[in-house]
Amino acid sequence: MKKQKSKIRTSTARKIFNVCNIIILTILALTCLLPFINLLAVSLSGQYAVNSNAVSFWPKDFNLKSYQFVLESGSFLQAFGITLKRVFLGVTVNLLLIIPTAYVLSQEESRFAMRRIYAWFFVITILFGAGLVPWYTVVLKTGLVNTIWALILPDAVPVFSVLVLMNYMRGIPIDLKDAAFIDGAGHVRTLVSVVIPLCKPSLATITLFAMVGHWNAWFDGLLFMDRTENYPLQSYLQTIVINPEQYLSKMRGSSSSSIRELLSFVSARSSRAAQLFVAILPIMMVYPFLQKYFATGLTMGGVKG
Amino acid sequence: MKGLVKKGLALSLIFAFAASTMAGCGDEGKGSGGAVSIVDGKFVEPVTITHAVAADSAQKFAEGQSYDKNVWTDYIEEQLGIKLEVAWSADNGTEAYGNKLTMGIANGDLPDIFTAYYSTYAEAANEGLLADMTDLIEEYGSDRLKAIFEANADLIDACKIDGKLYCIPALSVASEVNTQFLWIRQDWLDAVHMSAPTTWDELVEVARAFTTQDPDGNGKDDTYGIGLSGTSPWWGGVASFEGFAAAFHAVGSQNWIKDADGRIVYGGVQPEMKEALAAAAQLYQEGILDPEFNTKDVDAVIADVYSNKIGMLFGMNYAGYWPLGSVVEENPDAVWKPYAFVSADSTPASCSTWWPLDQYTCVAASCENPAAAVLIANLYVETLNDETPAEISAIYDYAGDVSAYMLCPVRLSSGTTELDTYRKIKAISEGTLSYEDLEGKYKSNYDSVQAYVDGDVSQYGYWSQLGIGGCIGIVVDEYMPGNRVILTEIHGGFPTEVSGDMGMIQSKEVEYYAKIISGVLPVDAFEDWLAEFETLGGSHVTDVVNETFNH
Repeated sequence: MKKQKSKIRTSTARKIFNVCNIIILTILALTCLLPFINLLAVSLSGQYAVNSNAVSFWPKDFNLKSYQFVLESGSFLQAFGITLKRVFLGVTVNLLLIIPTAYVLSQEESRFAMRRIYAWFFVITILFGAGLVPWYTVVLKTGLVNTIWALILPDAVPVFSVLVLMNYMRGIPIDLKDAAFIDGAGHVRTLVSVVIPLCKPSLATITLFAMVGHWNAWFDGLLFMDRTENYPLQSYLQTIVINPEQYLSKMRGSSSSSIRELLSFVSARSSRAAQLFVAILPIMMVYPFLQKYFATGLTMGGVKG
Repeated sequence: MKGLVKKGLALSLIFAFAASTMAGCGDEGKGSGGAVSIVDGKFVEPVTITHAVAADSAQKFAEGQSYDKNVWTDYIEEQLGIKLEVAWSADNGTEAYGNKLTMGIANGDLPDIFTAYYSTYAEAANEGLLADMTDLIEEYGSDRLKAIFEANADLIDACKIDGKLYCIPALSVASEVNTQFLWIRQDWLDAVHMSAPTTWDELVEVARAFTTQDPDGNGKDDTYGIGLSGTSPWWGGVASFEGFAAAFHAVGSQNWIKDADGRIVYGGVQPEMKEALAAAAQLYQEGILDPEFNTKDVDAVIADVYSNKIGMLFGMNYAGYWPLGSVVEENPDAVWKPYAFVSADSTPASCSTWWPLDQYTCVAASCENPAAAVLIANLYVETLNDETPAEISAIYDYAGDVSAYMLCPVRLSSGTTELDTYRKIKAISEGTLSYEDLEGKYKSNYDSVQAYVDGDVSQYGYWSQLGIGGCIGIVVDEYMPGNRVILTEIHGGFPTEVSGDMGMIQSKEVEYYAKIISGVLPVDAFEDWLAEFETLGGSHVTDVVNETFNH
């Protein structure tokens, strides 16, 4: 009897908790989701409806003109292509450098006496940056400006990812590596055949970091590309998603004819929405596949059977 | 063996590095061929000039053309013997273009010709990176170019640094054209049976009627009298606070004036501004001013214009092209008409304007043929001026929907096109000029204005700007004869040493004004704003401004 009572009590509390939980999480989820739905609705709506702010979550005057515009617009597709290339090259270079670095730094101090010094050598780059002008000067003097490598090489070794992978590798039982050495494997063989297969969750995480990082980067594109045709996607999107107000104040003093051009520009909100939507699609599709590794990859350090 | 491999690896790395460095240097050396002499305004043998392109994402090109090769590059090469090469292009709408220039100045690596804002221009000139254009313009400038320089002598003098002109200023518009107006929806005015206001009190009456009498006749109480952007009350082009300020003889738009003692002072801290804020706060309390103005940027106000919620705005002469033009096209009855600013007392209201020049075309000191920029300027003003026949401007000005004039690296114009067009349109309506005598832009502008009168609503912008009763008409017939245009005392770029402080002051100003108008702060909080102005270094800024501009 007593038992039952307490059971009922807990379940009421639990119910309340569940209801609150569901409500709060739903609100949270909606705040994340609704902007995207709004973007989608705007991209599918007619111009006048968009300009008068009449579109919320359902398209008005439904049409696909904006998407037609995106597919026919050469500069969008070109920028899209450059970003695909950048992500492919960038992620490859990142992984090729992160993995050996992390492997070396994960060695025990008994095997690698200078480990601490080398580790600090990398960590210092997280703590201190030289600033914009030296950054640009280095890229300029190495002749990388206006090449795709200007977007890849300056951040070829993301130190945070190195640390994540290093910590994960340290969790691998030393016995496994010792066994490999005894069997005659060198460091490369051990890394490739033993360590890497065990690090899959962590590798998935840093791959995702690298992909998202390269996909979203925009500032270096604006800075290092000498031609607007060479802008990667996010830099290109920056240039079209300008605040017309800012644009206008820059146009002050210019003749009314330039304002006339602006007219065609400002009313292009739905096509901007369409381009944004197309731009976020690929990265949204990658997330679900890699996300399951995310939590384990980042935190798990312990030995597992 | 192992050591050898290591050494080899290190060496090859060094070589790879050196090779890439040299590849970088190779590019820089391109395009130099020594100074070439000029005969009859043309280089005797071809010279190569590099230039920076401030790329506009809205720029369109004719088939097969690009920034590298287009009507203007061909024309310049054929007429002047100058081969234009794009050093780099960067987006002009974001910070990309400015960043590129800053990096170029830091590394001493500038294109031959580029356009900059004042701060960059001054920095590059002071670093000795720019060519002195003073004598070159004297020697190679055409008569037409010199005439434009003479007509704008005040503007040109203000661009000089240590008495020398290190640029070709991109003159484009007379300061009188940069004025603002009271825009009213004529159909609403008719619906409430009122006429256009001529005093502040009448304006309030009209605004009250717009708010309470359902001027759009939809049976809903969803309209209000005046639109205002709380987040961008000065620079948005429309929905500005300038008209409120002007009614009480305050100087708005973050402009500077001379006080009674001849000292230059900031308009935003003068006692007149307090009266203007008090009046606006009164309107807000009554619900005549948009109740949500303080969170609205210009975009949001425009959305309200589109959805028929606002009947009055203060805005620029071009508001008829943007944003009101699309409203009129969608609903031809919703005609917005411009009127002169109204005053709260018997003294007519004046409109303040900013310095009409903010772009400076510079030539790098490293350029071996700096006179090329002058020759291009000659060609530009010769090709595109107010008398340019339509068939020429159809190629070099607007080719279809392509704004071709933007492709010329050196651009400037007399700035009086709008004023002169209106004068001619007026003369025709009074019968003192005949249509046959019109040429070039005058003719095409007249045709556009006439097209609207004849029912083509897409030409509404021209009519509202240049037509009889349009904005420029108000300037020529009311503002200019009545001395009702106040030009800011900041003649040129804002002194760079205090522009950061001024930026802080301006954003605080916007905050205080929005709070005072919306009643979050009482009107007397204007005194707090004055104190804040001091705290943020207002007197120091004022001192520097006086040192720079008060001679």
